[in-house]
Amino acid sequence: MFPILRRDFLNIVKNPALLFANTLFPFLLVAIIGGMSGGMFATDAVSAHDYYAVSILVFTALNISIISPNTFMEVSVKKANLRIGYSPVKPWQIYVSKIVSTFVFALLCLGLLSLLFFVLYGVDYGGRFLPFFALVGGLSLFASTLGVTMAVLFKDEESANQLLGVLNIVFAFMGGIFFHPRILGETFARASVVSPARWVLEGTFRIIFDDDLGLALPILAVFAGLVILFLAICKKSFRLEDYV
Amino acid sequence: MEKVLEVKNLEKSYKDVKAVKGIDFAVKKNEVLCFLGPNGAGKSTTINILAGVLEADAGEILYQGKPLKEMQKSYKHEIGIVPQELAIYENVSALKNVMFYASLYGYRGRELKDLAEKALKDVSLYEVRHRKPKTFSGGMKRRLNIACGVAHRPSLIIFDEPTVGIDPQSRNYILESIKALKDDDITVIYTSHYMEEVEAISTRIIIIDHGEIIATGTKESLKATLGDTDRFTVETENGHEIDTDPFYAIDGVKEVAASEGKIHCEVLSGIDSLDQIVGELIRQNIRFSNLSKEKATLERVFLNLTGHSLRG
Repeated sequence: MFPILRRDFLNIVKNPALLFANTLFPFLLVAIIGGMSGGMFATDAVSAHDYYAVSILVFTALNISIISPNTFMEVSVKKANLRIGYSPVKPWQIYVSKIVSTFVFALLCLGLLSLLFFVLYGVDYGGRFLPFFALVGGLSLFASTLGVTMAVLFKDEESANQLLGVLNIVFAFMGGIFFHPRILGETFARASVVSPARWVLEGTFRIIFDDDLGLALPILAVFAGLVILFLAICKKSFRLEDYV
Repeated sequence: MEKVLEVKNLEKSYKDVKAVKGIDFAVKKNEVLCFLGPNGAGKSTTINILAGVLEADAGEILYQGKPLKEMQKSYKHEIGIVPQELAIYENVSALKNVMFYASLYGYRGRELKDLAEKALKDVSLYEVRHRKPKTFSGGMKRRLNIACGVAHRPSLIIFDEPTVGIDPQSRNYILESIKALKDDDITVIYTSHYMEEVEAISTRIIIIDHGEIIATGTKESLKATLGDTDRFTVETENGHEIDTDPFYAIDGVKEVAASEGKIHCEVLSGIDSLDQIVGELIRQNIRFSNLSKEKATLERVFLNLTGHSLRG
């Protein structure tokens, strides 16, 4: 499976749009929004950069779901990817490789961004970087698997990304990435419990500000369960004959 | 000759449409077996079943005498597939494309690179091996598509219409390369709806239509089913009624038909009756603008067997 994994990973990192969307764009977002809303967080405990660095990292991890359909079924690579099915590899290796390569790419981008935010803005993640990063990484694994599952179900990148684009925005607003969901009403705030972005944001803020790891394990367990569910859907739905 | 592949009573349906209706055939070692049929005849479905990516509804496939179901992995090592559509990475160099697909068969290091370079030499892309396919012409991409399917040295190669949409030079090059494979002891299955290609490379032909095999044989034996006749076609100008009876009195004329301003005469090959046909046209005061003679072709074999044209 290593040759497929390597090819998929190189296909992602050689795509300038994907590289920009997962490195420079979130960095600029934090720089701009953090700079603009500096006065709103005039406390010693939390700065605007602290808040937006964490929330934009979560948002970036959530948006990873849009990369994996791209690596799998974007029109310029779809036929080449599915040609792998003529070789002696197992069909599951084709979609699992897309998940793993996207996940590795996500971890590298999120790691780089986390480091930049630490160096440039002094965001120290409450001195608990590993559990913080485990939650963000868990979200990116969930997002990679969700993206591939949608590509398998829709059988093309465009339809999968249309749905995932909307889903990510809904999850982001519900999760309080840009503002607290209560601003849109109590009902919306209550419904926001379904958003993985909210779980991770709440979990990471508890780690950073309260030194509380209590939410981390349950959240990671839920992500693990969802990843297994998505893999089962892929196994049942991915049939090479649908693409020949 | 030793049978490499044996297909028995193969069936495949898509919802209510029966694409393949219980076909039987065998592929012999070192032959170029061509499937000839119009679009939608069932060629690609059959090929995809043989390639192991499509499951048949019924029937059995034996590879070297063993059921395919029991040896999928080793079978896939033995075969190479050149799909109808271009299946290459446009942003990766030609060499890396070929190396990637060959690496899926377990090749690594120097051996992998040698195999990829040989495959690129075989399709004359070695000089441009470091260029990305997005800079290639359509014909070069088609050749790379072939190199990616054959680099791992399969003993059976399946080509599914590999020349669709390319220039005549590239087409000729590809056909010559396929003929050369025969000399390397490789068995080839080739599908096309271009009869000229099939005539050029086949050692045996299967004509398929509506999911059924309607004829099998060498091109010579299939043409012989037409009774070894040539066809004269006369394009008339004045649209006169034609009396076909006098034509039958001409030596060698087997059949005469007139329709839509054309007269078709089937004449036994080797009998020179052209002067007499022209004489009869003049005698009937039929003015004509064009007269052509056509040898027996696979197109005519197909028309004769099915009642419709190959391209129809």
